[in-house]
Amino acid sequence: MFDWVVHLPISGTEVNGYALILLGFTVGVIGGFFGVGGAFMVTPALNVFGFPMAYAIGTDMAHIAGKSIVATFKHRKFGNVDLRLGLLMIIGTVIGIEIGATLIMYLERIGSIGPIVRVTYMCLLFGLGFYMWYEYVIGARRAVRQGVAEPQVDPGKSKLALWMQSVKLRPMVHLKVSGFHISIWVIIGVGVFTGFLAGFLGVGGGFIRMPALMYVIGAPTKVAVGTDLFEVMISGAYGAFTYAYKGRVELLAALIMLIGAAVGAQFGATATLYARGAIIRLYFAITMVCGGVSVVFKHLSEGNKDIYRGALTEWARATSGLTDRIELGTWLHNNKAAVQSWLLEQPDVLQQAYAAERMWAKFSGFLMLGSASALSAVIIFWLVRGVMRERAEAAEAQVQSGLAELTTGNGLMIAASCTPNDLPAVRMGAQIAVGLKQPATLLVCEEAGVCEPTLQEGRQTLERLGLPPKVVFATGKPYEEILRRSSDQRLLVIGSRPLSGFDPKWHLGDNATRIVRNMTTSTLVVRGRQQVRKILLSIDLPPSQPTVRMALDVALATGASIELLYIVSVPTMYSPETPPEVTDITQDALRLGVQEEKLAQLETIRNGLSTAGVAQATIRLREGIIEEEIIKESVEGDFDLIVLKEGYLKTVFGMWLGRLSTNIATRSPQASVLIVKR
Amino acid sequence: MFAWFLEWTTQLNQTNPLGFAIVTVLTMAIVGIGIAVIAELILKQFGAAKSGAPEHHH
Repeated sequence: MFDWVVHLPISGTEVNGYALILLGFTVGVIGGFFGVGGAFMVTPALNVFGFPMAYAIGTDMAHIAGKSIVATFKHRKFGNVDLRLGLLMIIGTVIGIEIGATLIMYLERIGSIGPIVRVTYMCLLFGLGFYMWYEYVIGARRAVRQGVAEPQVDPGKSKLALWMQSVKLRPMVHLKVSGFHISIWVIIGVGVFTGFLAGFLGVGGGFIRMPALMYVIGAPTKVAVGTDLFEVMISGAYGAFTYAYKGRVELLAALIMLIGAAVGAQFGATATLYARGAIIRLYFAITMVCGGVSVVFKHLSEGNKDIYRGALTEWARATSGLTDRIELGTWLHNNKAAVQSWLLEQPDVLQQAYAAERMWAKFSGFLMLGSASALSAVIIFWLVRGVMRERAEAAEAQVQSGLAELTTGNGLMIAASCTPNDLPAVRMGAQIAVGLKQPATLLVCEEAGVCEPTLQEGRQTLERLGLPPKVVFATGKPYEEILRRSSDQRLLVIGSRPLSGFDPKWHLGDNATRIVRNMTTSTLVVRGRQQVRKILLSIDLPPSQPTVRMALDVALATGASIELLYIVSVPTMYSPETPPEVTDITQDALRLGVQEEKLAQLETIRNGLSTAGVAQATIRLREGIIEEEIIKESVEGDFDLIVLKEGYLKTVFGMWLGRLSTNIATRSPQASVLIVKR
Repeated sequence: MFAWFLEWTTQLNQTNPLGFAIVTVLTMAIVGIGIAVIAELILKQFGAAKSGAPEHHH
């Protein structure tokens, strides 16, 4: 069953395909979790699998190039990639690698390069590993003393990082994702240092850069992981190119490994969401120490190799006629039987040295393979446990939150950024705030201009209704200020801004569009109508409780009716006929193939809304393209407000079509749109 | 098709190193992105809510 032997045409070797997939998967998980390429694990493991060393490195590089693209995109999505930091680091890294490589050339000329590199490698791995381990232990002890559940160590606040950030050598750069200002020269300097080590050791350098980004520059752990992966992506692509150019890449093996690695990288990157920064650093420390032990084995192996290397090379040159070092290595690897025959004719010392060299090399490879498998299993465990916990918490919250319960929040914020619909936004916001008896804040963005009439109207309306607002003036970029300041609010109300030359219904305005795309709280985009009388609640099953509650709260606050709209999604190419006038909802459900169970759920929600005091609650079923049907229904039913949860289109290609909620907010021609944050 | 591709790249490796290098990097990038999209969809189905995976509306 597990005897899928793959013949690799370029190097002429054969390996087990399942082993390659498993290796790719485990290192993918680790790479996605720690933000490293994982070459220090893969290369010895491939060598154990039977790859000649040059092909092991080249194939590893090629698979890293593909895998790190996957992991970087994933981390970018989570907001963990600081592009500015990454790009500046690359400049330094390239310079550093060149310096490191030059030093290597010099050492090669004077001899004894191998031991120096390996000892440096060992010191670095053990030093970094034990330091991070020590830091975790100190943090854990402090946590126990303080009675908190987990270590609170924040490398971003290390003395070295704070000192680095305090260096005011111009030009300075603001790292938005990392959240601090720092001198460009500091970043480039750290890049040169890590690049030098990478070039000197002949490795990708991810395992050096990740801690450097945390402890020296001060980036948060997850940003360090994401940004490092961005660099690994570029260095991996370069490495793949240069090794492929030299003909040392087994494309088939790299592709097989990539299948496992790309999936593994997804799991690893997602697992960072469920693991604490301190845990990530602890596991990283363990990986470093394992890597260090592996290099010790390698050092012992190479020590034995030095005993017979000269004689073997001389014989191989004479027998094969090859002179190139790499080609000679590959020839020896592929002619093991001939090497064995030659060995039998050699003195015992050489035979023993050969046996010891093979043994330590295997120990080294198997140690990395074993530790990689164990670590990836632990990471997968974290992921599964995190997802299960999250699901359990969500289910618990859903049970605890009754339909009629009014959600609590810190109030309602009405943002005025001088849009034509500011006034309707103020009036609709005031209506809801008063109805909900929630404190209201009027946020005035000065950069967009202070609209005195809007401000006065908002203040007076709310004061007249017995709810004097808090007025806040913000000076930064309007959308940034609105997003930042509304994050702790229950509801944000903003007006849309039609651009001149555009049909108003197709444009929300730059600020409003950015806000609904990146909203930090539930957001109401006001289109022009100033009162809410009819609410269209677009619902899916099982229902999003916060969305239903929000619609209920607004309906109770404004006295509006609610229509529950459930849409049976059909493929995009299929265009359903205009729906007939509904007389009997049961028959309509039968016509559209809505299951009885789903209809019962809708009726339960409707009854719950009625019981909670909504003036009129009805159900409407439609079939078609979800986005189109919501828009059509809102127009045909003359609705003032569409309420829906923040979400995407249900389609395999949904992620490319964009968010359903954003699209509805942009396209709704007359009804305002309330997007409920999950 | 895949067998043909492998044969072609093996020949390319011997005849045109630059072409082989470019094909290697492009193949890795394209396959990586393709697998990422599929894995993303699988994660979404398993409901890793924090994954940022697009969610079903209906």
